[in-house]
Amino acid sequence: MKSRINHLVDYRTVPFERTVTVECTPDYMEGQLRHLTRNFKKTQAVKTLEKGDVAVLSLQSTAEKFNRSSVYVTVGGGLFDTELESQLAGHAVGETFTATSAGTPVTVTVKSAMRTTFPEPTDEMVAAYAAEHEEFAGVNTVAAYKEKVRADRLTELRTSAMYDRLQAVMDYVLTHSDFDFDEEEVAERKAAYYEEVKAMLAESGKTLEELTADEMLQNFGISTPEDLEREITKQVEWSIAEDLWLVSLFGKTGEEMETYPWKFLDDYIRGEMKYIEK
Amino acid sequence: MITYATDENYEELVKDGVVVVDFFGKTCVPCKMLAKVLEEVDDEFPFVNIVKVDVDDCPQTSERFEVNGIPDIYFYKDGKIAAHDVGFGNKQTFMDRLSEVLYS
Repeated sequence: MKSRINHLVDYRTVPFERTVTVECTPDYMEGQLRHLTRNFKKTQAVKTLEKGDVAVLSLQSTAEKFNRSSVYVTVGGGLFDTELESQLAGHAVGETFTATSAGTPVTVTVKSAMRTTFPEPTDEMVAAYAAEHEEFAGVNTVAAYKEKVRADRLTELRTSAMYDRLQAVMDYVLTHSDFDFDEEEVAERKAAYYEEVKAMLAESGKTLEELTADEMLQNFGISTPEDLEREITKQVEWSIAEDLWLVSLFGKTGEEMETYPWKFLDDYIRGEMKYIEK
Repeated sequence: MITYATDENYEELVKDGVVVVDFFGKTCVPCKMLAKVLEEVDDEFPFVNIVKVDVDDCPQTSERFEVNGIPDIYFYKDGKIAAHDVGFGNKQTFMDRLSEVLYS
Protein backbone atom coordinates (compact mmCIF):
# COMPACT_ATOMS: atom_id res chain seq x y z
CA MET A 1 0.00 0.00 0.00
CA LYS A 2 1.16 3.50 -0.77
CA SER A 3 -0.56 5.15 2.21
CA ARG A 4 1.25 5.02 5.54
CA ILE A 5 0.56 4.91 9.28
CA ASN A 6 2.18 7.73 11.26
CA HIS A 7 0.73 6.61 14.56
CA LEU A 8 -1.63 3.73 15.38
CA VAL A 9 -3.54 3.50 18.66
CA ASP A 10 -3.27 0.07 20.28
CA TYR A 11 -6.87 -1.26 20.36
CA ARG A 12 -6.18 -2.91 23.73
CA THR A 13 -5.78 0.51 25.31
CA VAL A 14 -9.15 1.84 24.12
CA PRO A 15 -11.54 2.40 27.04
CA PHE A 16 -15.02 0.88 26.81
CA GLU A 17 -17.76 -0.23 29.19
CA ARG A 18 -17.07 -3.90 29.85
CA THR A 19 -20.03 -4.83 32.05
CA VAL A 20 -23.46 -4.93 30.45
CA THR A 21 -26.81 -5.80 32.01
CA VAL A 22 -29.12 -7.68 29.66
CA GLU A 23 -32.79 -8.24 30.41
CA CYS A 24 -35.80 -9.73 28.72
CA THR A 25 -38.29 -7.19 30.05
CA PRO A 26 -41.93 -8.03 30.87
CA ASP A 27 -43.02 -5.66 28.07
CA TYR A 28 -40.85 -7.48 25.55
CA MET A 29 -42.17 -10.86 26.71
CA GLU A 30 -45.76 -9.61 26.51
CA GLY A 31 -45.16 -8.44 22.95
CA GLN A 32 -43.78 -11.85 22.01
CA LEU A 33 -46.69 -13.65 23.65
CA ARG A 34 -49.01 -11.58 21.48
CA HIS A 35 -47.52 -13.18 18.40
CA LEU A 36 -48.94 -16.45 19.74
CA THR A 37 -52.35 -15.16 20.63
CA ARG A 38 -53.04 -12.46 18.06
CA ASN A 39 -54.93 -14.85 15.76
CA PHE A 40 -57.37 -15.35 18.63
CA LYS A 41 -57.78 -11.69 19.66
CA LYS A 42 -61.22 -10.21 20.12
CA THR A 43 -62.47 -6.65 19.74
CA GLN A 44 -65.49 -5.31 21.58
CA ALA A 45 -67.17 -2.00 22.33
CA VAL A 46 -66.47 -0.59 25.81
CA LYS A 47 -68.00 2.24 27.81
CA THR A 48 -64.96 3.72 29.55
CA LEU A 49 -61.58 4.38 27.99
CA GLU A 50 -58.40 2.62 29.10
CA LYS A 51 -54.87 2.73 27.74
CA GLY A 52 -54.72 0.79 24.47
CA ASP A 53 -58.39 1.32 23.56
CA VAL A 54 -59.30 2.81 20.20
CA ALA A 55 -61.50 5.87 20.63
CA VAL A 56 -63.40 7.81 18.03
CA LEU A 57 -63.26 11.43 19.17
CA SER A 58 -64.78 14.71 18.18
CA LEU A 59 -62.37 17.56 18.89
CA GLN A 60 -62.92 21.30 18.97
CA SER A 61 -60.16 23.83 19.51
CA THR A 62 -58.58 26.97 18.16
CA ALA A 63 -55.66 24.80 17.00
CA GLU A 64 -56.28 23.24 13.56
CA LYS A 65 -54.84 19.88 14.61
CA PHE A 66 -57.55 19.59 17.28
CA ASN A 67 -60.48 20.63 15.13
CA ARG A 68 -61.89 17.36 13.83
CA SER A 69 -65.41 15.99 13.81
CA SER A 70 -64.25 12.39 13.90
CA VAL A 71 -60.78 11.04 14.53
CA TYR A 72 -59.55 7.57 15.49
CA VAL A 73 -57.02 7.61 18.32
CA THR A 74 -55.40 4.78 20.25
CA VAL A 75 -55.28 5.86 23.89
CA GLY A 76 -51.62 6.12 24.83
CA GLY A 77 -50.56 4.96 21.36
CA GLY A 78 -48.48 8.10 20.90
CA LEU A 79 -49.31 8.66 17.24
CA PHE A 80 -51.78 11.53 17.55
CA ASP A 81 -50.76 13.75 20.46
CA THR A 82 -49.07 12.26 23.50
CA GLU A 83 -50.31 14.95 25.88
CA LEU A 84 -53.92 14.75 24.78
CA GLU A 85 -53.86 10.96 24.69
CA SER A 86 -52.65 10.88 28.29
CA GLN A 87 -55.87 12.65 29.38
CA LEU A 88 -58.32 10.23 27.74
CA ALA A 89 -58.25 7.22 30.10
CA GLY A 90 -61.19 7.14 32.52
CA HIS A 91 -63.56 9.12 30.32
CA ALA A 92 -66.77 7.49 29.13
CA VAL A 93 -68.42 7.19 25.75
CA GLY A 94 -70.77 10.16 25.29
CA GLU A 95 -68.83 12.34 27.70
CA THR A 96 -67.57 15.80 26.73
CA PHE A 97 -64.64 17.29 28.62
CA THR A 98 -61.85 19.80 28.22
CA ALA A 99 -58.30 18.55 27.74
CA THR A 100 -55.19 20.59 27.00
CA SER A 101 -52.24 20.21 24.69
CA ALA A 102 -49.27 22.57 24.87
CA GLY A 103 -51.48 24.91 26.89
CA THR A 104 -54.29 24.95 24.28
CA PRO A 105 -57.73 23.86 25.52
CA VAL A 106 -59.40 21.14 23.46
CA THR A 107 -63.05 20.15 23.84
CA VAL A 108 -63.17 16.38 23.53
CA THR A 109 -66.28 14.27 22.99
CA VAL A 110 -65.84 10.50 23.16
CA LYS A 111 -68.06 9.14 20.41
CA SER A 112 -67.21 5.45 20.73
CA ALA A 113 -64.58 3.12 22.12
CA MET A 114 -63.29 -0.34 21.21
CA ARG A 115 -60.97 -2.66 23.10
CA THR A 116 -58.89 -5.53 21.74
CA THR A 117 -58.19 -8.36 24.15
CA PHE A 118 -55.79 -11.24 23.79
CA PRO A 119 -56.43 -14.64 25.36
CA GLU A 120 -54.00 -16.40 27.66
CA PRO A 121 -51.56 -18.39 25.54
CA THR A 122 -51.96 -22.14 25.49
CA ASP A 123 -49.71 -25.04 24.54
CA GLU A 124 -51.92 -25.59 21.46
CA MET A 125 -51.25 -22.03 20.31
CA VAL A 126 -47.52 -22.60 20.75
CA ALA A 127 -47.69 -25.78 18.67
CA ALA A 128 -49.62 -23.97 15.93
CA TYR A 129 -47.13 -21.10 15.95
CA ALA A 130 -44.14 -23.47 15.90
CA ALA A 131 -45.61 -25.27 12.89
CA GLU A 132 -45.48 -21.99 10.94
CA HIS A 133 -42.15 -20.67 12.26
CA GLU A 134 -39.26 -23.05 11.74
CA GLU A 135 -37.06 -21.29 14.29
CA PHE A 136 -39.55 -22.52 16.93
CA ALA A 137 -39.50 -26.14 15.73
CA GLY A 138 -39.73 -28.49 18.70
CA VAL A 139 -41.14 -25.82 21.02
CA ASN A 140 -44.46 -27.23 22.21
CA THR A 141 -45.38 -25.55 25.48
CA VAL A 142 -45.91 -22.00 26.70
CA ALA A 143 -43.10 -22.48 29.22
CA ALA A 144 -40.72 -23.64 26.48
CA TYR A 145 -41.81 -20.73 24.26
CA LYS A 146 -41.10 -18.22 27.04
CA GLU A 147 -37.72 -19.79 27.72
CA LYS A 148 -36.77 -19.63 24.04
CA VAL A 149 -37.97 -16.03 23.75
CA ARG A 150 -35.93 -15.09 26.82
CA ALA A 151 -32.80 -16.91 25.62
CA ASP A 152 -33.07 -15.40 22.14
CA ARG A 153 -33.60 -11.93 23.55
CA LEU A 154 -30.57 -12.16 25.85
CA THR A 155 -28.43 -13.43 22.96
CA GLU A 156 -29.67 -10.56 20.79
CA LEU A 157 -28.84 -7.99 23.47
CA ARG A 158 -25.41 -9.51 24.14
CA THR A 159 -24.61 -9.54 20.42
CA SER A 160 -25.83 -6.00 20.02
CA ALA A 161 -23.77 -4.78 22.99
CA MET A 162 -20.69 -6.51 21.64
CA TYR A 163 -21.20 -5.12 18.17
CA ASP A 164 -21.66 -1.59 19.57
CA ARG A 165 -18.35 -1.87 21.39
CA LEU A 166 -16.60 -3.38 18.40
CA GLN A 167 -17.72 -0.40 16.34
CA ALA A 168 -16.77 2.05 19.08
CA VAL A 169 -13.29 0.58 19.49
CA MET A 170 -12.70 0.60 15.73
CA ASP A 171 -13.93 4.20 15.52
CA TYR A 172 -11.67 5.20 18.40
CA VAL A 173 -8.59 3.56 16.92
CA LEU A 174 -9.12 5.04 13.47
CA THR A 175 -10.02 8.55 14.63
CA HIS A 176 -7.23 8.79 17.22
CA SER A 177 -4.55 7.37 14.95
CA ASP A 178 -2.69 9.36 12.31
CA PHE A 179 -2.46 8.27 8.65
CA ASP A 180 -0.74 9.67 5.62
CA PHE A 181 -3.13 8.98 2.73
CA ASP A 182 -1.56 8.65 -0.70
CA GLU A 183 -3.52 10.78 -3.19
CA GLU A 184 -3.20 8.26 -6.00
CA GLU A 185 -4.41 5.41 -3.82
CA VAL A 186 -7.39 7.45 -2.62
CA ALA A 187 -8.22 8.40 -6.24
CA GLU A 188 -8.03 4.75 -7.38
CA ARG A 189 -10.36 3.57 -4.64
CA LYS A 190 -12.76 6.45 -5.22
CA ALA A 191 -12.94 5.58 -8.91
CA ALA A 192 -13.73 1.97 -8.02
CA TYR A 193 -16.36 3.16 -5.54
CA TYR A 194 -18.01 5.37 -8.17
CA GLU A 195 -18.09 2.43 -10.58
CA GLU A 196 -19.99 0.40 -7.98
CA VAL A 197 -22.42 3.26 -7.42
CA LYS A 198 -22.98 3.64 -11.18
CA ALA A 199 -23.54 -0.12 -11.60
CA MET A 200 -26.05 -0.09 -8.73
CA LEU A 201 -27.95 2.81 -10.28
CA ALA A 202 -27.83 1.26 -13.74
CA GLU A 203 -29.84 -1.68 -12.41
CA SER A 204 -32.77 0.69 -11.97
CA GLY A 205 -32.07 2.51 -15.25
CA LYS A 206 -30.62 5.65 -13.61
CA THR A 207 -27.36 7.54 -13.84
CA LEU A 208 -25.69 9.52 -11.06
CA GLU A 209 -25.92 12.75 -13.04
CA GLU A 210 -29.67 12.61 -13.52
CA LEU A 211 -30.62 11.81 -9.91
CA THR A 212 -32.85 14.39 -8.24
CA ALA A 213 -32.04 15.61 -4.72
CA ASP A 214 -34.80 13.33 -3.35
CA GLU A 215 -33.45 10.32 -5.21
CA MET A 216 -29.93 11.06 -3.93
CA LEU A 217 -31.29 11.26 -0.41
CA GLN A 218 -33.12 7.98 -0.84
CA ASN A 219 -30.11 6.17 -2.31
CA PHE A 220 -27.25 7.66 -0.30
CA GLY A 221 -28.75 9.64 2.58
CA ILE A 222 -27.16 12.73 1.01
CA SER A 223 -28.80 15.28 -1.26
CA THR A 224 -26.01 16.93 -3.30
CA PRO A 225 -23.19 15.57 -5.52
CA GLU A 226 -20.69 17.63 -3.50
CA ASP A 227 -21.78 16.00 -0.23
CA LEU A 228 -21.64 12.59 -1.92
CA GLU A 229 -18.08 13.31 -3.07
CA ARG A 230 -17.08 14.25 0.49
CA GLU A 231 -18.77 11.15 1.92
CA ILE A 232 -17.11 8.83 -0.57
CA THR A 233 -13.70 10.39 0.16
CA LYS A 234 -14.32 9.86 3.88
CA GLN A 235 -15.35 6.24 3.36
CA VAL A 236 -12.39 5.53 1.09
CA GLU A 237 -9.92 7.01 3.57
CA TRP A 238 -11.59 4.98 6.30
CA SER A 239 -11.22 1.76 4.28
CA ILE A 240 -7.55 2.54 3.60
CA ALA A 241 -7.00 3.19 7.32
CA GLU A 242 -8.66 -0.14 8.14
CA ASP A 243 -6.42 -1.91 5.65
CA LEU A 244 -3.31 -0.22 7.03
CA TRP A 245 -4.30 -1.41 10.49
CA LEU A 246 -4.78 -4.99 9.24
CA VAL A 247 -1.51 -4.90 7.30
CA SER A 248 0.31 -3.75 10.45
CA LEU A 249 -1.01 -6.81 12.29
CA PHE A 250 -1.19 -9.54 9.62
CA GLY A 251 0.74 -8.22 6.62
CA LYS A 252 -2.46 -8.38 4.50
CA THR A 253 -5.39 -6.11 3.63
CA GLY A 254 -8.95 -7.16 4.45
CA GLU A 255 -9.52 -8.32 0.87
CA GLU A 256 -6.34 -10.41 0.90
CA MET A 257 -7.31 -12.23 4.08
CA GLU A 258 -9.11 -15.52 3.65
CA THR A 259 -11.09 -15.31 6.88
CA TYR A 260 -13.11 -12.55 8.58
CA PRO A 261 -10.41 -9.91 9.15
CA TRP A 262 -11.82 -8.43 12.37
CA LYS A 263 -12.08 -11.72 14.22
CA PHE A 264 -9.16 -10.68 16.44
CA LEU A 265 -11.14 -7.65 17.61
CA ASP A 266 -14.35 -9.68 18.09
CA ASP A 267 -12.42 -12.20 20.17
CA TYR A 268 -10.71 -9.50 22.21
CA ILE A 269 -13.95 -7.65 23.03
CA ARG A 270 -15.87 -10.87 23.66
CA GLY A 271 -13.16 -11.93 26.08
CA GLU A 272 -13.23 -8.62 27.92
CA MET A 273 -17.02 -8.32 28.37
CA LYS A 274 -19.09 -9.42 31.33
CA TYR A 275 -22.85 -9.80 31.16
CA ILE A 276 -25.27 -9.53 34.04
CA GLU A 277 -28.56 -11.26 33.24
CA LYS A 278 -31.66 -9.88 34.89
CA MET B 1 -56.47 -5.97 9.51
CA ILE B 2 -53.61 -7.57 7.60
CA THR B 3 -54.55 -8.70 4.11
CA TYR B 4 -52.41 -10.36 1.46
CA ALA B 5 -52.89 -8.76 -1.94
CA THR B 6 -52.98 -10.36 -5.37
CA ASP B 7 -52.36 -8.69 -8.71
CA GLU B 8 -56.13 -8.70 -9.16
CA ASN B 9 -57.37 -7.17 -5.89
CA TYR B 10 -54.64 -4.62 -5.10
CA GLU B 11 -56.58 -1.49 -6.09
CA GLU B 12 -59.64 -2.62 -4.17
CA LEU B 13 -57.57 -3.05 -1.00
CA VAL B 14 -56.00 0.42 -1.02
CA LYS B 15 -58.99 2.58 -1.91
CA ASP B 16 -60.36 3.37 1.56
CA GLY B 17 -58.95 4.89 4.75
CA VAL B 18 -55.31 4.74 5.77
CA VAL B 19 -53.52 1.75 4.29
CA VAL B 20 -49.92 0.64 4.68
CA VAL B 21 -48.72 -1.45 1.74
CA ASP B 22 -45.68 -3.64 2.34
CA PHE B 23 -43.99 -5.05 -0.76
CA PHE B 24 -41.96 -7.84 0.78
CA GLY B 25 -39.91 -10.94 0.02
CA LYS B 26 -40.10 -14.19 1.94
CA THR B 27 -36.37 -14.40 2.63
CA CYS B 28 -35.63 -10.70 3.19
CA VAL B 29 -34.46 -10.05 6.77
CA PRO B 30 -35.55 -6.37 7.04
CA CYS B 31 -38.96 -7.50 5.69
CA LYS B 32 -39.26 -9.88 8.63
CA MET B 33 -38.42 -7.07 11.04
CA LEU B 34 -41.07 -4.89 9.43
CA ALA B 35 -43.57 -7.77 9.52
CA LYS B 36 -43.36 -7.85 13.33
CA VAL B 37 -43.88 -4.10 13.53
CA LEU B 38 -46.86 -4.35 11.20
CA GLU B 39 -48.40 -6.99 13.46
CA GLU B 40 -47.99 -4.61 16.40
CA VAL B 41 -49.56 -1.80 14.39
CA ASP B 42 -52.44 -4.09 13.51
CA ASP B 43 -52.96 -4.91 17.19
CA GLU B 44 -52.64 -1.36 18.53
CA PHE B 45 -54.02 0.70 15.64
CA PRO B 46 -56.69 -1.51 14.07
CA PHE B 47 -58.07 1.47 12.13
CA VAL B 48 -54.98 1.22 9.91
CA ASN B 49 -55.33 -1.39 7.18
CA ILE B 50 -52.23 -3.31 6.24
CA VAL B 51 -51.78 -4.85 2.82
CA LYS B 52 -48.88 -7.20 2.21
CA VAL B 53 -47.68 -7.79 -1.33
CA ASP B 54 -45.35 -10.73 -1.88
CA VAL B 55 -43.18 -9.53 -4.78
CA ASP B 56 -42.86 -13.09 -6.11
CA ASP B 57 -46.58 -13.76 -6.01
CA CYS B 58 -47.58 -10.35 -7.44
CA PRO B 59 -45.15 -9.68 -10.30
CA GLN B 60 -47.46 -7.32 -12.21
CA THR B 61 -48.13 -5.06 -9.24
CA SER B 62 -44.47 -5.10 -8.21
CA GLU B 63 -43.43 -4.15 -11.73
CA ARG B 64 -46.05 -1.42 -11.93
CA PHE B 65 -44.66 0.15 -8.75
CA GLU B 66 -41.07 -0.39 -9.93
CA VAL B 67 -40.15 -2.25 -6.78
CA ASN B 68 -36.35 -2.52 -6.83
CA GLY B 69 -35.59 -2.75 -3.12
CA ILE B 70 -37.61 -4.39 -0.36
CA PRO B 71 -39.36 -3.78 1.85
CA ASP B 72 -40.96 -1.10 -0.29
CA ILE B 73 -43.58 0.70 1.76
CA TYR B 74 -46.47 2.80 0.46
CA PHE B 75 -48.82 4.76 2.69
CA TYR B 76 -52.26 5.45 1.22
CA LYS B 77 -54.86 7.87 2.48
CA ASP B 78 -58.32 7.58 0.93
CA GLY B 79 -57.00 5.88 -2.18
CA LYS B 80 -54.09 8.23 -2.82
CA ILE B 81 -50.40 7.62 -2.13
CA ALA B 82 -49.50 9.86 0.81
CA ALA B 83 -45.93 8.67 1.40
CA HIS B 84 -43.40 6.15 0.10
CA ASP B 85 -40.34 4.70 1.82
CA VAL B 86 -37.87 2.11 0.59
CA GLY B 87 -36.30 -0.05 3.27
CA PHE B 88 -36.98 -0.44 6.97
CA GLY B 89 -34.62 1.27 9.40
CA ASN B 90 -36.34 1.15 12.74
CA LYS B 91 -39.78 1.10 14.32
CA GLN B 92 -39.71 4.73 15.48
CA THR B 93 -39.06 6.11 11.99
CA PHE B 94 -41.88 3.96 10.62
CA MET B 95 -44.29 5.06 13.37
CA ASP B 96 -43.39 8.73 12.82
CA ARG B 97 -44.27 8.34 9.16
CA LEU B 98 -47.53 6.58 10.01
CA SER B 99 -48.44 9.36 12.46
CA GLU B 100 -47.79 11.96 9.76
CA VAL B 101 -50.02 10.15 7.27
CA LEU B 102 -52.80 9.54 9.79
CA TYR B 103 -53.05 12.97 11.33
CA SER B 104 -51.48 15.67 9.17
